[in-house]
Amino acid sequence: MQPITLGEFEQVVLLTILRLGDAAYGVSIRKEIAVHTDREPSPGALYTTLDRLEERGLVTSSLGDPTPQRGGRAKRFFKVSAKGVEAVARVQRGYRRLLQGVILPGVSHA
Amino acid sequence: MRKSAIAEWILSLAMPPEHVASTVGDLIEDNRGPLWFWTAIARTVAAFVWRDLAADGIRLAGNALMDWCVYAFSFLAIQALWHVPGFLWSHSYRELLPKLWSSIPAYWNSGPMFLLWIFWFPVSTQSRGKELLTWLVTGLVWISLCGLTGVPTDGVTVGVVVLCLFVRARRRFRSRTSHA
Repeated sequence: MQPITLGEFEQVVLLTILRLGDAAYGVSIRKEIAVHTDREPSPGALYTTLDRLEERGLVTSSLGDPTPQRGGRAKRFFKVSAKGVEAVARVQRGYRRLLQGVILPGVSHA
Repeated sequence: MRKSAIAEWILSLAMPPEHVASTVGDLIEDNRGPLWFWTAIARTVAAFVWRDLAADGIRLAGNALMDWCVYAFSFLAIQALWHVPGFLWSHSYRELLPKLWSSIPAYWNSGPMFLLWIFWFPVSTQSRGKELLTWLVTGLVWISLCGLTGVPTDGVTVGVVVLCLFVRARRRFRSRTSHA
């Protein structure tokens, strides 16, 4: 079976959902990505990525309760599935192996 | 109609219906002003449409080429039908052929028709059975209206684009509800 491939932004989204735990929904995911990567993803990029990850079975989603500050609309909470955890872990292991022994000029800790 | 309801309708044209309300809720919660809100809606729709287009490029190109040929031939057929009574009346094919010939450059140089072809991309990918028939009939009706009444092709294009978006939204909604 072919290993699951992940794009760079897909990895960012999966790791962010894992970091946020039970509080991962559209707004919090975007804010967390902005804080940790110094770039704010556009809503379109984020929602298409979340949709694609869900279609591939790497994340699951469920609706929370509607809230007034959202115009009575529910939050959609995301969780990384076991398949998603395995995929992101495998890709990250690959990055670590690639970085081993590599000296990046001007970077003290890779 | 409230802005959130309009935003939900626009998003439902491109993204899965069950995700629409929560997405609008996210954008409302962000609360960065109307310009940002509507830009985010437009960019989200564009991202979903682009994703669908990019997902299956070869099949899309094939379908689009087929659409283009169907439109070209149907346009010429309507032009021919339009001029046939005159031909039969005058019994002069010399009058028919120049009329048909003169309509061709107007068609090939028509930018709006090219736009129409592009906007049929998402609809044509899964056109089968009744939907293909619907597509053919509506295409013929629009082109007939254009050819027979002199309606500007810009108007025709806008109409077809709206129709495409409607058909696309309906199909997506149906496929999602049938899976549920």
